[in-house]
Amino acid sequence: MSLNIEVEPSLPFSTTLRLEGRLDNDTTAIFDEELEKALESSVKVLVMDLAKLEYISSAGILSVLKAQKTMVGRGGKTLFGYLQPGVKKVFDIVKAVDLRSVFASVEELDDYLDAIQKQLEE
Amino acid sequence: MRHKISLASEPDAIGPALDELESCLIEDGVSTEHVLEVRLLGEEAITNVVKYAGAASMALEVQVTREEIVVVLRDNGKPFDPASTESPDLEASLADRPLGGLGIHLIQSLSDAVSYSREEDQNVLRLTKRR
Repeated sequence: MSLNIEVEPSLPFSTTLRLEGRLDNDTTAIFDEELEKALESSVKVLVMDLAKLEYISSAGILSVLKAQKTMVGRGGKTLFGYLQPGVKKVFDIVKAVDLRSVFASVEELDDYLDAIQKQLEE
Repeated sequence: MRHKISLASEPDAIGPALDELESCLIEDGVSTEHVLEVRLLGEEAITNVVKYAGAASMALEVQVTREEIVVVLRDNGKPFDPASTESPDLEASLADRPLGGLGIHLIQSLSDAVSYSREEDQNVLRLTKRR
């Protein structure tokens, strides 16, 4: 099963990874490569837009956890857009994310990022 | 319906076996939600055997009834009982928490029943998901 990843340096302080498909044993290596590239820059906010991710296994969760650890280590944060119910269920079981970092919709997340951008500009 | 899926104990065999498992479940009219959850159970169980059991052979069987979906995985690797393995510490802070053991925890949490037996030289893992 396939995984498509779009990387969008949406704002100066953040990078967005938009995932579509399945993050599993076969596709995690692709995700890890993109993550590594995204984390080479000094972004303080890593956004994972998983609205179109329909499946995740422990292989993918491991990568998500490692990315969060890296961001915490540099004093940054990882934010998540809307999660499909099946993915959210798996995240909840393994407590993969802080619930405060998950937004109800991608729009809500974008608004939050815009607010941070405005604060930085002031 | 009962389906038998043969697979080699090697990483490249995992994806095709899971695709076949998924096709069988769809063919038997299983809902998308349960198809993906059973695929996940299969992925975690098979990956565990391929990575750690040192098995020379393995076999996957799935039986779908009106009430439940039962996945049975047999392998001739080292004895290992996922049903009685302790869950990792999920409450630890992100910096301190261990990253391993999530697959077994998912198997235990998503299955309605997990049973393990050692039959002759084989591990037999039976995962039941109610429909």
